[in-house]
Amino acid sequence: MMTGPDAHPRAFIAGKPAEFQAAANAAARLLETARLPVVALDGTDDAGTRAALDLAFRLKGAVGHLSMPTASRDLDAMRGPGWIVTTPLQTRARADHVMIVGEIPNQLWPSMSDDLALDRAPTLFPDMQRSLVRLSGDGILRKLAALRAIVKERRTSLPGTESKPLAALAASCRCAKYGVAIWSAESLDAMSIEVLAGLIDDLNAHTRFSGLPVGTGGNVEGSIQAFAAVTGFPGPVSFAPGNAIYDPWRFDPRRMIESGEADAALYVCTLHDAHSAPPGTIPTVALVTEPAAATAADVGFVVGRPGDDHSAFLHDRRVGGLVHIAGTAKAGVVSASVALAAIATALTEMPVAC
Amino acid sequence: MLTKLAGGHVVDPANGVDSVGDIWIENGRIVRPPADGVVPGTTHDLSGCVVMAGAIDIHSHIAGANVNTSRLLLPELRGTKAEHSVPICDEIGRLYAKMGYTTVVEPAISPHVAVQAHVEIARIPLIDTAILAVLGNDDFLLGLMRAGEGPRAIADYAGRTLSATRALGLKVVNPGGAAAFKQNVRSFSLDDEIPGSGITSRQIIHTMQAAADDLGVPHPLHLHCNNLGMPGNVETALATIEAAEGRRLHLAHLQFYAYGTDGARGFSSAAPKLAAAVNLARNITADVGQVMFGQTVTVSSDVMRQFNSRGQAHPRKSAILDGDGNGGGIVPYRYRRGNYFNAVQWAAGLELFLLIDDPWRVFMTTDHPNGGPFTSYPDLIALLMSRDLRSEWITSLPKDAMEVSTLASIQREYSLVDIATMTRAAPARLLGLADRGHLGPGARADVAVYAPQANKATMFRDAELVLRDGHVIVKRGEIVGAPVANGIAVAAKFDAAIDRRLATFYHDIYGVSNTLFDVPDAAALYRHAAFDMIECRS
Repeated sequence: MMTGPDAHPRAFIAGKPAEFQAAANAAARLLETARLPVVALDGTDDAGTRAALDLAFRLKGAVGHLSMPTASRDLDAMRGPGWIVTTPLQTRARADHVMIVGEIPNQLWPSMSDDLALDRAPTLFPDMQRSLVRLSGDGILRKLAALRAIVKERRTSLPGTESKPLAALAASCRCAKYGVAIWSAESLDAMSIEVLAGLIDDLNAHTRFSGLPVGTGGNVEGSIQAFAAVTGFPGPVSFAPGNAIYDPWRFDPRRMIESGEADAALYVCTLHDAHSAPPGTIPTVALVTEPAAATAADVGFVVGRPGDDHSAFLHDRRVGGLVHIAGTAKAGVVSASVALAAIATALTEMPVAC
Repeated sequence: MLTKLAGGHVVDPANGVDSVGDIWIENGRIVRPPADGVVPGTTHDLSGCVVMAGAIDIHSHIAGANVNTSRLLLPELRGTKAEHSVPICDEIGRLYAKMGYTTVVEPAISPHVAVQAHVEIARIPLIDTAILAVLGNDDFLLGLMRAGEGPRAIADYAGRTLSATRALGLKVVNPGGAAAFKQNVRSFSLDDEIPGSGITSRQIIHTMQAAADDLGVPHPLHLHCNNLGMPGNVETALATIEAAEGRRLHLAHLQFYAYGTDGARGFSSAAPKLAAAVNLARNITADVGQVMFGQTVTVSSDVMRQFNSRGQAHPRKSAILDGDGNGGGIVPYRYRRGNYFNAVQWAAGLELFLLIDDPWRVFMTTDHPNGGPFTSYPDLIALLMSRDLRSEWITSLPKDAMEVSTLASIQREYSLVDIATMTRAAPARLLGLADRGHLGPGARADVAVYAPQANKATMFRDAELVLRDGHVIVKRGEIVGAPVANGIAVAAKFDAAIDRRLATFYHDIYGVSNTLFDVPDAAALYRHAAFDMIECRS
């Protein structure tokens, strides 16, 4: 761990290089003297997420992932009416009919086509053919609703030019031996995802069909799992009453910061270059991977990139679950979880309650 | 430091002890009484109290993707009476410790999600934990069986899986059922074939039993049978017992297979018939999976069963995962006292407990949370220990349901020795944990002390004192310590040549390395101590 500023400073106070411990102390003071501090996660690993939760608990503050409003589009479909989903590996191995609904932003999963072998037969059933169709363009919700109606042999109000291709699509879905619909919450709204989940459910009355949510970025899927195990909720939560309470609107970090409800923020972004700057202009502690972003904050730490500079547990989109990546520890580089723990240790015994 | 637990009623069936005496502890172990004149550093006066080894739960869904999905699916249960069916990691450890439990096994983790399971289970405080790795529907195993591979290759694969997942034993869940479901099969019995494979459930069970025995895994194959919950499925359970062919086999949550088709509603308890079969088959052990009334959530890797049961969900929603291998299904459910079917289930479970005559071969579970939360164990103990209490409950249940069960006629009441056997000594033996489940010299100092009370539920709900590894963790029902909790795994040996075959398979079929799913060592898993490794029997 760094003990002093040098040619590659890792900690900053008001933009100037500082000793790591002094910065941790300054960060602790900034956060614990706030009336309502919020921890805004913009992408970190499992250990960083857990350390952020522990720190938010100590601060009696709020904590959440900045991408939760997008991720909640999937969550709401799952915990509302429910859903049937599968894994990327089963999609690659078995799906003879793949329907991509809406756009999958390339930066989310640039290797998706190769990983899922979409241009080949299902790898477990090489004698089968795999068909790939897309449902895209304007009015996805309307198209999904009509598709659902057609699958259930109900009439729609769509003109023939629109309903005919959907009828063909419905027929191909019903004929699938193992169909998979792929979508991303980045491009479908919550209602569309809910209707799609319902369509998948309806198709399972006749055949096997499943969904593959690609999700969104910033390891939010991993964040949700960590939040659920620790608090019982996907986040965001507040620890103001001592235990975790959940309200996706009220404790949305971006809303809290931009509205002025929060008066101090801890921003954690370790998975990509911090071009996503912390939202708002309130006093901020930033844990980021680039010095420029660290110097812009009131207190900043340059921390390691999970999976590169240190080992990490991260959600891997290729397999749809948590994996362990053994990074290469670099001298003088601390992880976000270590920095967060140092801030927590520097808090005084009785943090100011909000 | 030498600690003396003085004058309690020690119930230690593994060592034949059921009398007032002292327990001596040093460096986290039970030790022989010291020489005369040696003064202990600490003495706990346990006069009048009941002293047992720390309890061990062999089958409780406490970690992993399916469990976490249940939390995400049902945020509305938090802060209600049903919260104990979806407890968070911290609460799991605290709730178990308060009841005197010191070791718990998560019984169903698919290898591809073992990393997440371990990350979560390591967060559970106060209790030692382990997982069972689920095989039996996975593509690689079925490929080996289709190709007619011999038992050695399969044992190597199973051993490699145990090692990579850091599991304590092998589990199969509706073997073949999940694979068949992916091919649109909606029911799957013992001799049904996975389409296009020629492989039956029976063959998978035999194959995996052989693998467990070849490896010398102390815990027998842990089996979730076909046809869970179906009327008349006692025949499936009986056929499965027969199919074991005298080889050791553990049947999970047997209550869910104790159903006949008698009565006007075609659903009755067949527990007496099933208990009789278990009594005769000394190679069989079973945990009950008792139903207790109230709102809960079913969490199971039996994806076919969970898919088929969505219509009974309460609240009306579910999450189904076609996973790699087994996958899972999360379906909330409410067991109602006034419901005929639920009342029959409740009675059938108690019948199994009371009619299986060997407390070394029957184990207390609710298959948490499937039959009810593990926090209902004290109520269950009270029911087992009192015929009068059972009679009280029976009078509040539908009369027609009680008429298709023999529960009302059963006189047996469990003694403290029976309870200690079923919840301590027997689980330790079944899992191969020689240093637990008893209070003899050399045992880990996992000790649970209960103040005697007429109300046995209250007595077993809030332990007077609990020690884990010799450290006091519970005092008068309150958590007072937090020593390091350990993970336990089996040290399986296998030929590393299987790695080459796995590498090729995963590259060709899945496009990723099989090592991506390997669980790292304890230090990487936020654990402060290495895994407690249990040797296989040679």
